[in-house]
Amino acid sequence: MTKLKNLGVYHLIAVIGLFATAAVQADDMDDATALLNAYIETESDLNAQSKLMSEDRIFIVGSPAMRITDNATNMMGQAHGEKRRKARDPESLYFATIEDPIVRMYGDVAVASFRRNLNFRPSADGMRNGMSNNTGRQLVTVVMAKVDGDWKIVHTHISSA
Amino acid sequence: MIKSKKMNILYLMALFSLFTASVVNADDLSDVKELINKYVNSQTLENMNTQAKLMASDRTYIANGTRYSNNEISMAIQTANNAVTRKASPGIERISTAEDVHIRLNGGTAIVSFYLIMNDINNAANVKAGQAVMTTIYATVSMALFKIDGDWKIVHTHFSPTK
Repeated sequence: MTKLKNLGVYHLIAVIGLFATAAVQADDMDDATALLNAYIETESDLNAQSKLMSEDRIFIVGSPAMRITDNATNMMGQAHGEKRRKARDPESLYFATIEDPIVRMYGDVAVASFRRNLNFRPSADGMRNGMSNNTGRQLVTVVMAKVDGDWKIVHTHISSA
Repeated sequence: MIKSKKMNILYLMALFSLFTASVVNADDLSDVKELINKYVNSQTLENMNTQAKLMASDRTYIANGTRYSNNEISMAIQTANNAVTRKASPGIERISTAEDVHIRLNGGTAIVSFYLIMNDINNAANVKAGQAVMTTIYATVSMALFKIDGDWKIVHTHFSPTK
């Protein structure tokens, strides 16, 4: 009788363990997806976007490609470009869209790849000053990792599509 | 007296677990480095079956503005491409090297980036006909590796042309 009771307890523990693992995995996937969405949504607010990254994020971009390992300096350069764009046409619209994301979980790491469109739509004044609609098409890899309980972007690789 | 004995045991256990963790990390780092070396050494103009063994069957591969999510087909394309190159220029050889390899370990996952230099050494007939002795292709590479059943495998690769 005691043996049976013990078996029942072990069985329950195993089921709870399995359930807990699945729940944690589902939560992690939700958290990683939310972080990825936030990365896309903050393309026109780089101050907010930089908060999504670890301090040592690696950034690979350009054609020819270059690797930047100093994230603070990298984001400072990008923020300067953002400021210039806003100064040139304050009423313009700049936004990113994501297509066909593939997100895979590997323990405390999520690897995402997707197509990103960077869309620039000038204001009427901007158009009069010679600006035009522009869309940059990219293929992007974003690696996210759980750092001290928080998901952060630790690696980004962008190439033109 | 008993209290201090217990404290000593706890201290010893903590020290042991720290030591074990650092040994595992060091082992993982060497394993990842070894896999990257194997990848670079197999970046040739031969059959890509050897390199394919370093990858998970569902590896995602991004190169030349295209994403390939079917690894088997992606590797078959590379092998076919290499076969045509060898047929067009018999004796041509590709020797690849990696520079500035950066590895970040996150538990059973490694995120790696490096510069890949692929040197294609031409055959004598082509050189006599005026072609260059060596053509070099430069790429910046990102890779994600994951420990699957105790073995490190490449699960994601992203190439960008450099230079």
